Amino acid sequence: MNDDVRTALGTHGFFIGMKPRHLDAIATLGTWSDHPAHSWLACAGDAPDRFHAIVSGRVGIEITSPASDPLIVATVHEGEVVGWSWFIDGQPWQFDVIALDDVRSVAIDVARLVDACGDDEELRHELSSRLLRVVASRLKATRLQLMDVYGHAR
Amino acid sequence: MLVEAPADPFTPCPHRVIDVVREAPDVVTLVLAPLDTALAHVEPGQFVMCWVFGVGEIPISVSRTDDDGTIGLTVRSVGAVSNAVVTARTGDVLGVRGPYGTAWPVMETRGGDVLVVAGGLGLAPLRLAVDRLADLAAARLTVVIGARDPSQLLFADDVRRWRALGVAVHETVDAADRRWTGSVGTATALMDRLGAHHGMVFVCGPELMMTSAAAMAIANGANPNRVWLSLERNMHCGIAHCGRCQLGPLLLCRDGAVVRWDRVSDELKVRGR
Repeated sequence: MNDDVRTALGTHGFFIGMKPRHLDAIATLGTWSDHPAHSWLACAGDAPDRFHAIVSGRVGIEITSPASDPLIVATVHEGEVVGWSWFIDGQPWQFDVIALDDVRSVAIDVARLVDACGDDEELRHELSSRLLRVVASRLKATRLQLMDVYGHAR
Repeated sequence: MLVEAPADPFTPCPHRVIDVVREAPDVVTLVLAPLDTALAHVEPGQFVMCWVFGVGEIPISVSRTDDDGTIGLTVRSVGAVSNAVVTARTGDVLGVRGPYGTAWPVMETRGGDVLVVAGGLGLAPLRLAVDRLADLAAARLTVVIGARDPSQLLFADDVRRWRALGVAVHETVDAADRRWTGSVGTATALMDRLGAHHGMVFVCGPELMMTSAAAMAIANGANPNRVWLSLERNMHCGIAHCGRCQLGPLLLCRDGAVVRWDRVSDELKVRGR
């Protein structure tokens, strides 16, 4: 286990408050990952081999189509995670993820994490709860964005 | 020489447009100077009724004031009258009466941490308040600004000035290209990220955003009786006579626009208002 990774996860917003043995288990699956500004962390359709706990910097979740310029629809910041599609039956990345600054993350090996969750029901439940909060928060934000509230009066 | 406002509350004071500042593609600030009669002192958050002769009258929050009686009105074109206001040119004369309504309780914030949350054009009614709050304790002030996209962010010069004073200003937009250096997402999501407890919270913007932001502020530890928002309804007379701006027991032209969250939270749960 990389002690630096373990320390980083222990104070990371997504993992904070998690039981030490779960943090230990996840830390063994994590490696430091550095992404210069404007480099890709993942592209839509990529295999879900890693998900990232952002430790510093900012990434953009981006939608690209041949007919339009890339559009960033959300930013993910220090203390947050990006890449949860794997949790739903190993779905591929749904969007492009680009580093908007120099970004440092802990990249967690998804295949081994799925195995670890299979062996430890409590870990699976803990991760599910935390990922569900992320998904719910993104869904709420997306609904408000879809309302285009700023497009009308005030 | 300027004289006091007329006794008849429905008589507009003629003001000349002395400058038109383009804030965003569809938003302008008209700088208006009184021809002969200055309005009474305007507190941050108060509004005026602005009359475009031959077209109609609308309520507009005051976004700037000067000692010489000059005021600024920041407007987006959303209807016939606001379109006439937005297309006014330097030299045109508009009628203005007021100011009306309640003000942001700036002086009640003394000594505490303050969070200001503005969405879209909602920064206009907050601009004077942020100026005052920055004068009081810039380092204890956090401002969250949300907009549809970067081109819709208002008052860029003011934002630079507030930051230079030490105010923590965070901007977020619903969508952006890669040139944007701030956050992308809702103002509420940004508040969640900041997470800090603030002793006093001022919120102004679209109603959905305000209710969401107020709930987030309270979840982050703010007392509901220290959360204030600015509500809009169909203000018409401005003096609580016509009743068109009723919201439950409140007439918002008199009891608002700035109201305390715990006094209106139930009213804002009623469907269809």
